[in-house]
Amino acid sequence: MTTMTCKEAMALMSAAVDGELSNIEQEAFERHIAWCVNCSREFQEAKKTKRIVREKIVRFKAPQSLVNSIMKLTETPS
Amino acid sequence: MTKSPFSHTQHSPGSHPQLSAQELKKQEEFQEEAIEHINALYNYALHLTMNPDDANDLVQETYLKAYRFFDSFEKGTNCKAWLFKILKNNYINKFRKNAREPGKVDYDLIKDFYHSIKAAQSDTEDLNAGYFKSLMHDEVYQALQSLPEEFREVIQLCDIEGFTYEEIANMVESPIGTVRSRLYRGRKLLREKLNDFAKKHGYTSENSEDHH
Repeated sequence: MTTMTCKEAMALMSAAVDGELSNIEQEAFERHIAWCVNCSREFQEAKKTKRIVREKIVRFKAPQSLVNSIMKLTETPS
Repeated sequence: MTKSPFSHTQHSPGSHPQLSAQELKKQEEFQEEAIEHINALYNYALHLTMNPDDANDLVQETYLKAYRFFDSFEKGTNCKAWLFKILKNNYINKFRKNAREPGKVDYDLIKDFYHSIKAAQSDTEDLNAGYFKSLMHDEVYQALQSLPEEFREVIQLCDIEGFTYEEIANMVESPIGTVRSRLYRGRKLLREKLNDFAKKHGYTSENSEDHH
């Protein structure tokens, strides 16, 4: 089996973080970061960044007046 | 590809109750499928416009359009992605022409935004939780807002809204490879900005959760 280069691993980094790799890519990626300290670190850091955004980003609730007006909108025959 | 919900209607002249039954069915389906995404759409609209009034208008117009063209929504596909796409198109048509320079961040605008959001939200029950959370974590919000739009957008759609690459590619009208590389580069930029935040709040790469 050919080994993935760091450049190739970097190209797959975001997809690896998001679970968007094909099985073959996943296997090759895991094989690479198992021994490449740099790419492994990059991978952990990218996962961490995603986690912070997911957990800490501000989320607002749509105002009730907006919800009401949309419910009303859909009650009018188009 | 347009599917008409009326195509199976037995047409009997003058039977208006038939039509309104169809209309009723459309309403029910729409309310079931589409209304639940209102908070996500509102947040997306806020991120795009940075202004609660504009966000309100944008969401309202999106739902109006979506309802009108609900027949063209393919059942079984992701309704949230469909709505986001409509909202994005609306946003581009409506605001993009006189938008501020891409990539430039106006921190006064963000401050104003927090104040107006606070005022606009003051009648909702979980104002306090939401607002205090935002005060505590506006570093993350500002860091994200300070990224060039092309990066901010994919991070938002992926990390916050949980869309797949295919759905994002469709929304931003770029190939999946572009989505991948924008996410990679965007997260790298964001990581530099969030370094202090991560340390302060105990985020380390070593204790990253393991998904397996």
